[in-house]
Amino acid sequence: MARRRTFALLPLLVVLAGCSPEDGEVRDSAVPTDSEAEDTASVDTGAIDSTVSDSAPSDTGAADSSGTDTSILADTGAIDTSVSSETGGDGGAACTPTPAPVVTKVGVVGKVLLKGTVVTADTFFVGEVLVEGDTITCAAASCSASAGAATASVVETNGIILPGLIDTHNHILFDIFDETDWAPTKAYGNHDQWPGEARYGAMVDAKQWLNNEAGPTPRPDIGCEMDKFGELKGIVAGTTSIAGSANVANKACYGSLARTIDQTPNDLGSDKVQAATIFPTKTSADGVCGNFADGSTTAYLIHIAEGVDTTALNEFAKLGTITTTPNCLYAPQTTIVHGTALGDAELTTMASKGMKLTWSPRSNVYLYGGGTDLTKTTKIPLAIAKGINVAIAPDWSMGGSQNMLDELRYADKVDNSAFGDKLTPKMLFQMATINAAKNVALDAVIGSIAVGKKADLMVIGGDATAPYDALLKATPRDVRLTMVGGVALYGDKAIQSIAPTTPACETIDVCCASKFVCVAESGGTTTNKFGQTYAEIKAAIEKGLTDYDALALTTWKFAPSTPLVRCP
Amino acid sequence: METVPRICCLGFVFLLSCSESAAVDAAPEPAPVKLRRTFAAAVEGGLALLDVDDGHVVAKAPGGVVDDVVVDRARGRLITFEIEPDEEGGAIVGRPIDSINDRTLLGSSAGVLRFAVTDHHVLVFEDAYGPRWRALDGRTSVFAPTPRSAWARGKRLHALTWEPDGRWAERSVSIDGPDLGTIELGSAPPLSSSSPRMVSVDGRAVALDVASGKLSLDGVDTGLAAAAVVDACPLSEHAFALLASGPTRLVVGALGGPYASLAIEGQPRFDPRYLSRSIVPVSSSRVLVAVTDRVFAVHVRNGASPSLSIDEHFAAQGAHAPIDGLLP
Repeated sequence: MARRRTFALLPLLVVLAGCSPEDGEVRDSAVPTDSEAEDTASVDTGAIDSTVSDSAPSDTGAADSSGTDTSILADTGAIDTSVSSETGGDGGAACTPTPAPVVTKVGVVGKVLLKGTVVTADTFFVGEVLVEGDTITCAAASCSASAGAATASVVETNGIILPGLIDTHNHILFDIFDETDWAPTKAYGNHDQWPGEARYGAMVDAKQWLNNEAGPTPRPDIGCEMDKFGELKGIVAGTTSIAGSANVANKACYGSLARTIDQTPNDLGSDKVQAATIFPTKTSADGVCGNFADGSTTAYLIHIAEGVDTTALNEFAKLGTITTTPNCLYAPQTTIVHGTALGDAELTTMASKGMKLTWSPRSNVYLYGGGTDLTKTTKIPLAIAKGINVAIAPDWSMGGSQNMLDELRYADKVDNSAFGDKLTPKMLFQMATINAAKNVALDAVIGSIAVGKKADLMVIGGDATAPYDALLKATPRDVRLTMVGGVALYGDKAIQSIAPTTPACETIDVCCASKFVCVAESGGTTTNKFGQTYAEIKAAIEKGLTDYDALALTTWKFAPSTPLVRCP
Repeated sequence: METVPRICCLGFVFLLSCSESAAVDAAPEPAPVKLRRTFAAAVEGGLALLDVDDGHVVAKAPGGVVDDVVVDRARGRLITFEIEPDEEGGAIVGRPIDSINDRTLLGSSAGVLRFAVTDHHVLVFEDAYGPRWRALDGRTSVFAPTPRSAWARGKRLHALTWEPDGRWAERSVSIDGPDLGTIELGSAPPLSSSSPRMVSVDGRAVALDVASGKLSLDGVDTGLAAAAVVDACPLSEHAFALLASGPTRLVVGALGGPYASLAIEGQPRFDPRYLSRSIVPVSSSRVLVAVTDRVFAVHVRNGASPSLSIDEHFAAQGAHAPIDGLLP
C-alpha cells in the first residue's frame, strides 16, 4: 500500500452540494427480510463518469452533460461537470448541506493538522491530531508545541475525528452483490444449508467467473476491481482496514486503498493475519498452531459456529480436536468469527483461553432469523460479561450491511431489541476500532488515535458532544474524511486540497453530497492496476456482470452491481 | 486396465476373511501391467515425477504446495490444486504430461478442491462458499456435499457423501458434456464412522469403514485396529488396496478371500471430509503408498501365503502425498 501520489495543494473549495439524484435502474426484486428502510431501497444509477474534477474546475457554467449530479464550487462559481452520482436514487430526498469542514491553512505536503473533537480509545476531547507522513505524531488539546504543526496544513473539521474503522470479517469479492442478487428463502440452522439454494449457487458461479476461478473462458479476471470496489464501499464509510478473504491471495493490486489486513500488501511490512472461511483441514490447523508457536501468525480469524443448531455448535469442539496437539487453536491468537451457536460453556472456554470474537449481527439475523428474529445472533452480552474481546464487522453485502456504519446501527438495533440495551454507543465504537485491532493483533499499530500509530482516521459530522451516538447515526454522506496511512482517500470536496492530486482524485455524489475519492495511484501497471480510477473499476465490474448475464447460464441476472452507497 | 480412472479407481468384487496367511487373490494373476509415470507432491513444493522402480525424482516442476493431483488422460495433462501454506484456497494448474514445467493457470478456489477423473472429464469438487461439483471445463456448478469417495461407471460419476441432514448417501451424476446434469441422491450402506470410504466393485459400492476401532470391510470386521480409512482403490481384477490410519497400515485383499496388511511408517495425508490420494497401484504385485513425508513401494506377493513387504530399494524421499499415476 505504498502511496504513489503527488500532493499539490489546491485552492480552498467549498461545496454547496447541489443535488439532483438520478433515478437508477431498480434491479430484480428479492423480498427484503429486514424492514428497515435502508434495506428496501436498493437502487443504482449505474452512471459512470470517468472524468476527474480536482485539476481544473470548468468555468463554463455548462450543465453536466452526462445528466448526473452537479455540484457548485463556490469560490469560482464554476459548475463541476464531472460528478458521478452515487446516490441510492431515493427519488428526491431532501438535501440539506451539512456544515462543511474548512482548510484554514495550506502547509507542506505530508503534514496535516486536524482540529475537532478527538475520540481516542477511551475518551474524547476538543483538540487536534497531527499527521506527519503515515503516522500520528500528536493527539492533544493542542499540538502547537509539536514541531511539525507549524508547517502542516490545517483542517478545521467542524466535526468528530475518530480512528478509522476496522472490518475484521468480510468476503470482499461478493460485495458487488446484494440481496437483490440472492436472499435466503427461509431461516436456516447452520451455514451448510443455505448454500444449497440454486440462486445462491448461480451467484457464486458469477463471482467465480468474474474472478477467473471457474466457468467458461475467456473470463474477465476482474478480481482486483472487485476487491477495490469492496474496499471503496468501506472507505466511504470510514473503514481503513479490511480482512476481506480475497483470493487469489496476495495480489499486488490489494496494495491500494484500504489496508488489506489479511494479505501481505497491507503496508505494514508483514502479514501475520490468517483467515479461514471454512473449517480447516488437519494439515492446515496443525500449520496454524505451528505458526502460533513461532510467531509467524499472530491472529487467526476463523469462521466457527455460524448458525443456531447443534451442527454449528459442534464446530467449536471440533476446533479443539482437529489438531495433532489438542486445543492448540484455543489460543489468544484465535478469533472466532460468528460464534452464533456458542453457549455459556463455549464462551467460558474462549474467555479462559483469551480467544476473541467477531460479531456480524445483520448477517446472522438474515440467514438464521428470517431477517426479523433479532435474537438469532451471537450472545454478545454474555461474551462481554466473560471478558471476551468483541469486534463487529458486516460479513458481506447480501443481507449483511453495506459497510461498517450500517452494521454498527444494526448492532444497536439488535442490542436495543434483543439484548435489553446492554451495549453502549461507546462499546459499539470500540468494537469497530480498538477491539477490532486487537482481533487482528495490530492494536499497537492501528485502532485508536494515539501518538505513533498509523494515521488511519475518519472524520464525521454530527453532535460533537455525543460522538459515539454521532457515529451510530453516521452514513457515508456524513463522512467528511477517510485517511489511510496519512493519505486522504475520501471526503468532502471542501477539503480536497489535502488529498493527492497526481493522479487526480475523482468527484462522486454521495447522497446529495459532493465528495472526492482518490483511487488511482502512480506507478500503475497491468498487473498491479494501481492506475485505475474509480470510474474504470466500476465500468469493469458493470461490463463483467453484463457479459456474464449475456452468457445466459442461468435465469437470474446480476447486473448492475450493488451501489457504492445506499442513501437513507 | 486401460481406462482405470484414478478416483481411486474401478474395482472388482472382493470380500474378505480375516486371515493374513491365505492367498490374496485366488484367481490367476494377470500379466503385470506397469505404471509408466507417477506424479506426487515434491517435498519442497511443486510437482515431482517419480521413477516407479527406484523412487528417484526424475523431474521437478516448481509450483505451490500440491494439495491434489490427477492425470487427465483424455487431454494428456496433469491437473493440480496448488496452495500457499498460510493462505486459504489456491490455484488450479494444468501441465502437459510430457512437459510438466509448462504451467497453465486454469482457475482457482477460495477453499479446498479435489478432483476426480473419468474417461472424458475432470470433475472438480469444491468446498469454499458451499460445497459444489462441476466439470473442470464446465460452465456452471451444482450444489452437492463434498465426496469422501468417488468412482465412475460409464458416463456416471458416483460418490459417497455426508448429507446436511446428517446421513451418508450415494450421489451420482451424468457427465455427458461440460455441464453436470442433475445430481441424484441415493442411499448408502450403514456406515458407523466419520471417515468411511467406498469402492465400486463389480457394479456395487463396497463400504470400507471403521467400527469400534476396528477396520470393517463390506461389513466384515477385520480385527485390525484403525482410526480411519484414508484411501482405497482396486489393485487387480479381484483385489483391492486400502490405506488406513491409526496405525498407518496398507491392507491388500480380495473379495471373498484373505487379506494381508503391512505397517507403514509415517502419517497419512488426508482429511476425512475430502477425497485423498495416497495409493497408486503400479501393477497387481506392486503398490506405491504416499504419506506426509515420503513415498513407499510395497511388494505384493500372491499365492498361498500372501504377504506385503517394503521395497527397500525404493527411496522416494523427495516426494509425498498426494500421488497419482499414468497407466500405460
